[in-house]
Amino acid sequence: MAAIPDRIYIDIRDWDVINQLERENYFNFSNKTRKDQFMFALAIGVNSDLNINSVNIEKRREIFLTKDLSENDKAIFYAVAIKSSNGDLNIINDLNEVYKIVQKYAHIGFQILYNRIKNTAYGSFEKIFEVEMAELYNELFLIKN
Amino acid sequence: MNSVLNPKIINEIKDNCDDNNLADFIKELLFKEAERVGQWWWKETYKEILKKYSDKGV
Amino acid sequence: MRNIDIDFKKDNNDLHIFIGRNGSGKTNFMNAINWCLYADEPHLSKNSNEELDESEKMPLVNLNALSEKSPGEKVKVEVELWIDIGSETVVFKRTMEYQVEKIGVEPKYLDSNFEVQLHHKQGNVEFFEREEARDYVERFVPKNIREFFFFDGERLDKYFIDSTGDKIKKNTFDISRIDLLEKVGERLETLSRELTREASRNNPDLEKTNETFEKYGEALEEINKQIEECNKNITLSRNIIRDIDDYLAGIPDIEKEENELKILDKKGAEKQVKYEYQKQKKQDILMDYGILLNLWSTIKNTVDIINTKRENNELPPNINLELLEDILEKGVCKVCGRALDTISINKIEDTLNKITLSSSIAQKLIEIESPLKMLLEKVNSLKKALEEVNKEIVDLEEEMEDIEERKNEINKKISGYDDREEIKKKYKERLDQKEVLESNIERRGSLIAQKKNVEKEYDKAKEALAKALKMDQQIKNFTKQIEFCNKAINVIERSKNKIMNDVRLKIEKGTKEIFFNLIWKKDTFKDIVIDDNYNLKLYHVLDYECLDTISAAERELLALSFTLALHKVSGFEFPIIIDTPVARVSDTNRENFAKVLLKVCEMKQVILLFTPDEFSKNIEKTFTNEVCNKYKLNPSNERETKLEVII
Repeated sequence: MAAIPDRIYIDIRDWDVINQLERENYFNFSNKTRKDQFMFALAIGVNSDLNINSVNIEKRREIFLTKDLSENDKAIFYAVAIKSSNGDLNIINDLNEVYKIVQKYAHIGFQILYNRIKNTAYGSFEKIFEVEMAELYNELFLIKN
Repeated sequence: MNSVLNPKIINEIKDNCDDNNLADFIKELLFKEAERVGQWWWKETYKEILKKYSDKGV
Repeated sequence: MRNIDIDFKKDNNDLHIFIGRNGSGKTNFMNAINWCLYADEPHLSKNSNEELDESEKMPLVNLNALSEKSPGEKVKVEVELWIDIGSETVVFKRTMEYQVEKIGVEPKYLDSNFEVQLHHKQGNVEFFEREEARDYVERFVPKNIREFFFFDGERLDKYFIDSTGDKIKKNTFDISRIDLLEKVGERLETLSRELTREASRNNPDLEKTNETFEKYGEALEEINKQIEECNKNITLSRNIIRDIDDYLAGIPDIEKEENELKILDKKGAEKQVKYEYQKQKKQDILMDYGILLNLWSTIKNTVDIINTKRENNELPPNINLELLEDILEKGVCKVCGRALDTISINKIEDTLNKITLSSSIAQKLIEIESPLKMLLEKVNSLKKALEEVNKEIVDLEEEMEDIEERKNEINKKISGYDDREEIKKKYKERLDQKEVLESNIERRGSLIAQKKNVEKEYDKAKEALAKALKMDQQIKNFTKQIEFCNKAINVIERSKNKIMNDVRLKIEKGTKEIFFNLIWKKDTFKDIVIDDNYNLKLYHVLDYECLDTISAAERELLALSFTLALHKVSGFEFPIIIDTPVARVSDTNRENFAKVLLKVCEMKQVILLFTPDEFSKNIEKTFTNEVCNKYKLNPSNERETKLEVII
């Protein structure tokens, strides 16, 4: 088995997205940890339901150390990996793979964020996001609850 | 405007006095005041008039 | 105007009119008469300059007249008033002489003179100068109620204000001619004291009693002086406050508004900080909420898998699987140390067979179960937190908007005032004067209370002295005189009060009769009272005092009625002069008031000084055929006015 990496990586292109988010300080990005920034992109990427098989991280750069992950963060990683492997639980034994999966989803998430910001009027992205979250909540809890 | 006394004052004094002697005393003082001005003359004059009328008695 | 004689000859009635725009000399006319009588010009500025020495006052000489003279030449200012009283004529004449200096230098005051001439029917003339002349003026047109002879239509608010009562009391005193009576009373008091002192000189006990009596007498005198001083200061403060109120009418308290602005700025800044904080808090919540909602399905999916595994017993109980395998291998229970029997072995094998998942996976699932469930539950609390922070932000936005609105209101209110420092100064001065006023009122109250006590002691001492005097045989004569003196003093005091009261009631009656005869509103007012403090009160038919709420015209009529009553009771022979008589009177009442003035001039000589705006067609119509003399004041340049006779 390959050695378990001690850090999480993102596509080098995604740093531009982070910088832009920090410049415009959406979601108080400039005061967030790299881990929090990663988790946000991860969540957006996961919810997009896009296939990570076609995702290829060409050049990568580390974003944070895995020792910064909390129990909640690790739990989320495993849940994402389980979902990605269509319920195959053996995936959670392969931490390397788990990290690869979450890194791909995060990359998708950053790209989505980039496109959204590009196509949204300055200052209104958070407002639109808030509305979308309200709709998502209703969707989740009116149907699934 | 003149130095004649206001008759109303004289009548009022008469009404408030028990006796004519007192009324006459005040009347005489009033006439003296109306005739003269200044601060220097009055004491001796007042003393004289007072003696005159107070000796007459009630 | 110069070298001019104006003859106010009476016709069928005694009404005389001057018409001139502002700056044409109407006020100068009033000032000239005042100057002649009192050596001041009250309509120059708010404050009389009577405290200044003659040589320190501004020269009265017309500038044109000055420019026609050469340096070193003399120039005179003279005003004469000729007043016919029955068969006699009184002449008031004041002169002031100056020496012209070179151009740009004020003329040098040289001399002044004031005299009163009484021209008798027989042809002889009596002359009065200095104090006698001044006394004559005081009996003719008392200075401190001159506003009841020289009416200023612009300053109607002056009439019947607080201090008027004191002034009216003083002049009732003067009208009553009881000044002589008062002087006699005062002198008898002095004489009585002196006699008592003389009497007690040879009797030490009596002397002591007398000393006590004199001590209280002096204390009483001192307190009365201090009370009078307080009254003067109170009147002064009230007048200053009134003048400041005139100046500040409609002007906001700039300092107060600026202070409120500072407070609002501070509040606004505080709100802004809170607002930024809440906005940032919202961003944080939104991010966490966003993460959770986006991952919710994924997390729920895994939790469902775990629950299913548990229900199907695919998840091991909370037992260390390695321990179980070890126990099975060794055949001994590591907990109790007992050797395993068949049942135990079967049980353990059964348990191990059921666990389909690898121990590591199972372990991980068990590990992540709790955090994932907590995350699912967190979503509602994040939703609530988001709602709360949104409300907080909206509230802050509203509050900041309110603050901005209030700031704009204040800025609008205080903009346009260039003399802000002056305004602030006036407000401060007003506050200071109010404090002084209140302190003097308090002091007066305490002095009055003190006076009561001292009066008691004084009366006691007086009684004791009288007793002591009676007992001493040696001073019988003195006693007789002192007693006689004191009786006379009492009679004088009682007479004085009765006469003053009678005069007050006469003036009250006269005012009532004239006012109710002249007023055009016949069913509004019920009564007029001049109370014991000589304050005039007007009562509405509904029994409440309404002096403060009557119109300008009604107030002016009341002042006129009072003046006419004063004149009637006192026998004042001076005319009534009114500057801008209808300035403050509304259009609807102007004609009414003009008709009133016509009736007044049947009783008295009336001189009116109108502006062209005031002298409307309606007023002109009212006065047509009734006016004896009508003049127009035409300024020929900035420094001189020509008097044009119209009638």
